[in-house]
Amino acid sequence: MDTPENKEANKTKLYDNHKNLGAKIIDFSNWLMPLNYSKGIIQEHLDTRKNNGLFDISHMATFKITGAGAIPFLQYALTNNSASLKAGESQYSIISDSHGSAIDDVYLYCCEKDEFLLIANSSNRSGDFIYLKDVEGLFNDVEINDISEETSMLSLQGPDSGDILISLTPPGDFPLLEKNRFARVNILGADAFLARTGYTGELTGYEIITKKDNIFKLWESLIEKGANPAGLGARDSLRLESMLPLYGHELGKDPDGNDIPIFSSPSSRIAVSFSEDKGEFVGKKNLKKQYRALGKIMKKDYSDSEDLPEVIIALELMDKGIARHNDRVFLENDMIGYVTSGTIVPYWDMEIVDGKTKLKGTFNLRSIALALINSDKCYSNIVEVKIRENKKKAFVMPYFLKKMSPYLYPVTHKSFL
Amino acid sequence: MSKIIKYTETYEYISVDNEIGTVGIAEEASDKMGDIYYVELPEVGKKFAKGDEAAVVESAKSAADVFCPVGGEVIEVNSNLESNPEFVSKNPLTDGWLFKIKITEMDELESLMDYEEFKKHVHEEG
Repeated sequence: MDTPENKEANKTKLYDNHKNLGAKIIDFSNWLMPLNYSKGIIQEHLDTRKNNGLFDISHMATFKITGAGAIPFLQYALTNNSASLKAGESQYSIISDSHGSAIDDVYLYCCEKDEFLLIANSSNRSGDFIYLKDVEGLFNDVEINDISEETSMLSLQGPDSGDILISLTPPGDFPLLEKNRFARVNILGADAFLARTGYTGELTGYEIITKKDNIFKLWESLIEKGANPAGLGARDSLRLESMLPLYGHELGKDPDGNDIPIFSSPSSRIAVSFSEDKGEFVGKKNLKKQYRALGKIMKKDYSDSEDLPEVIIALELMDKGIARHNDRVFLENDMIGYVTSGTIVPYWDMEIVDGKTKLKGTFNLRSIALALINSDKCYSNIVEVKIRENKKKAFVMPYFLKKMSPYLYPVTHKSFL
Repeated sequence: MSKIIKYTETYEYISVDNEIGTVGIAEEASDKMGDIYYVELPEVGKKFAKGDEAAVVESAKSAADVFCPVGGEVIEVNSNLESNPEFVSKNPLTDGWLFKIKITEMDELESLMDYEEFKKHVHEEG
């Protein structure tokens, strides 16, 4: 086992707070982060879906991009249409390489016309920065700075998250934010960015960026008001249950070292814009090919599938067992791909009353996975995952959760049988 | 003769009653792994040498092999774990045992740790 304490690694400002809450600490791309607190991953996942989950995500990279050349630079370096953002709006985007494979996936926040914040994965912080600095050189009047050391970031996700934050802001000050909008707010007397964003799939969820020194008071107060600390374990199982990609799993390179096309992953497709005003950008030519191939694949025409050889599908195991990253996927006796992410997740038993989801109070567990499989096999109903020596049946799912309120409604494979 | 419990460096325990050994994972292992949600058990009749992979326990985060502490033949598995895998982490020494073996290599027990030594080993590993 690793003994993370002995290595030289980064810690967020809240490291001691996590330890005091009984966190199990892991080394996550050279950051000592809470995997889970004393309640455990499963309970933290359930808490987030029912009430809320509070995540320290201060390890994430924060870049500031300023200048009149910011938009042309972002249009070229990222896949989404950065010019469509008004001040106070944000979008999911991708840094593509020239092949149309992801260097990283990011969130872009437009603060003002020529001032943006870019939040990136901590594991890619130095790689992204070196790359973006290179691209910056091609443009006039733009400057990119790594301000990760100055800021701390929390994520509060789940149905109660808004109520908790309202209680920490002066009366009448809490902004009504639509999804992907953000505002400058005064929380506990300190200046902060409050964004209606997150990576758990929850309908309500916020991310808060503030100066490092403000973070202790914010963390303590949120917990006092009922926020449930949750670690990276639950953060991963929540994003997986919402079919959101994670760099190094559904994005980047596959286990054989081959590029994973950006259009393989359902959520990444929305991060690519071929809008007229975007013009030329890195990876455009190949992304367009992937896009065309996807259009055909959706009509079960595989004639262009060399441009998009593999796509991500969602699986729920029908047999007992837990699929894990790199487990092979089979159809009859042919290997058709491999698992990119897999774990066991809990879900609340629910009923629907007057169009609203209602918890029954009990929960179940299921084993779910995302898998990258050959495009021409993506319409299979049932496949097999080889877990150690045994092949286990798995059902191909369109989604694991339905967007209903106030709670996301879990859909199991049994409802499709 | 009273039962003795011995531990391995890889956090298995074996509780020995005459020539029958009951194998599980020590509480200290589940502290590291978190709660167990899935267990893969060996077949009855299977013969293992010391250190062979005999079972797998999985938490929400990871899977871990369970190694047979000493040589022997599987005579019983804890089939209750199929519906209650969490017993492995919650009650490791009672309901949470994994399998029983008829020990064929009794002298290999000598090489295992008693609880005091095991505690020291866990502490040193951090």
